[in-house]
Amino acid sequence: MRPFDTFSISGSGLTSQRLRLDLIANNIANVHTTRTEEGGPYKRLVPVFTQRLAVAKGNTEGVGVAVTAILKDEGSPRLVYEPGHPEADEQGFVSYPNINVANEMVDMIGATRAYEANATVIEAAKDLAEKALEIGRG
Amino acid sequence: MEVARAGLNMLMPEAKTGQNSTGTFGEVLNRMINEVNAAQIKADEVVKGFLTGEVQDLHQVIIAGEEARLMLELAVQVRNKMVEAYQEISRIQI
Amino acid sequence: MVTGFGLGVIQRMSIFDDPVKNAVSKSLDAAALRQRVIANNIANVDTPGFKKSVVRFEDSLKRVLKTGALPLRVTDRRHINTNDLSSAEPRLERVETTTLRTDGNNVDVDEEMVTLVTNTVSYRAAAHFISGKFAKLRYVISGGR
Repeated sequence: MRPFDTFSISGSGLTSQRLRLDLIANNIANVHTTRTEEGGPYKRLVPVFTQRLAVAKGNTEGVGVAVTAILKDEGSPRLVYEPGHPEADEQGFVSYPNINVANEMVDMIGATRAYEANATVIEAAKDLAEKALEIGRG
Repeated sequence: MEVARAGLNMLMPEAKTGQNSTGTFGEVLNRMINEVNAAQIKADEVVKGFLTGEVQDLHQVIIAGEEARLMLELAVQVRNKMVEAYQEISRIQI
Repeated sequence: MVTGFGLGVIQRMSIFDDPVKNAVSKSLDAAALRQRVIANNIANVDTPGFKKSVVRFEDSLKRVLKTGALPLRVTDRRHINTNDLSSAEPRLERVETTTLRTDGNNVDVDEEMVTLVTNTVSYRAAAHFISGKFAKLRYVISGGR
């Protein structure tokens, strides 16, 4: 427990949503990546959100969120018939990453909205703190 | 000095009627100072708690500080009136 | 000479032992807690299986203030004070019964945003009231200057 806990709670939300946006950007950028270091096409990255807990005065209290793991989407690659492609297999199919750009875009909008919501909560917390400091001044 | 004492008693939530009326002026003043001092210490403790994260709410810190300040102001005002009253009496020509 | 009942009342209470001020102070506590709870709910909007929490306070405050509408005089330390605000603590409650999405999460961002706004307004109002209480005390202490 730290002072300004409410800021760190929303801050963890901002960090997590930003990471989610980064992963979406990475997924969209690699929509045609057929070759990776580990071999095979690029695999879509998915963040795992987990709630952060802290024990305060005997009871467990939620203190924000954290991305505890970044999983690889192990779904089978998208096969496209492109016989002229250097990466094509014997049947002429190229394995492209299992990424649907439209889904990624929807996910991106969700992440942006969640990011904005967290930012709004921080603004409200700031407003509260300023008002508390005004007690006794007027 | 009853009115002044009433003012002092406001500073002492624990004080009881019977005990106060028997106290000498010095004792009453002493208790008052102790109460004011206790409030300042409490306010400092809350500030410490806030800095270390034990007290999370800013308003609690501000309210404790404000109460300590008002108690001090009240004590100083009572003291000013006392001194005024003393000077007034000392100027009386006999 | 201040005598009898008037002096007795003054002697029993500190200048800060004002039930309304204490209630307002409790409201500030509740609003600050509610702010943190909303922050946590919003931060966990995408956490699978997360269940939101809410702060319950107004009902218990109402109960305490209603029973204290005719305050009983406490003339002895051993008397039970019906105006005791300590029973009106803000309480945290997890809402386990609803589900908004397939992953079990039940955070409604729009609802949280509305609660955030009303909470901010009530915090500001409470802070304003308590400022007013202090200002009045200071006015009296300084002898109306």
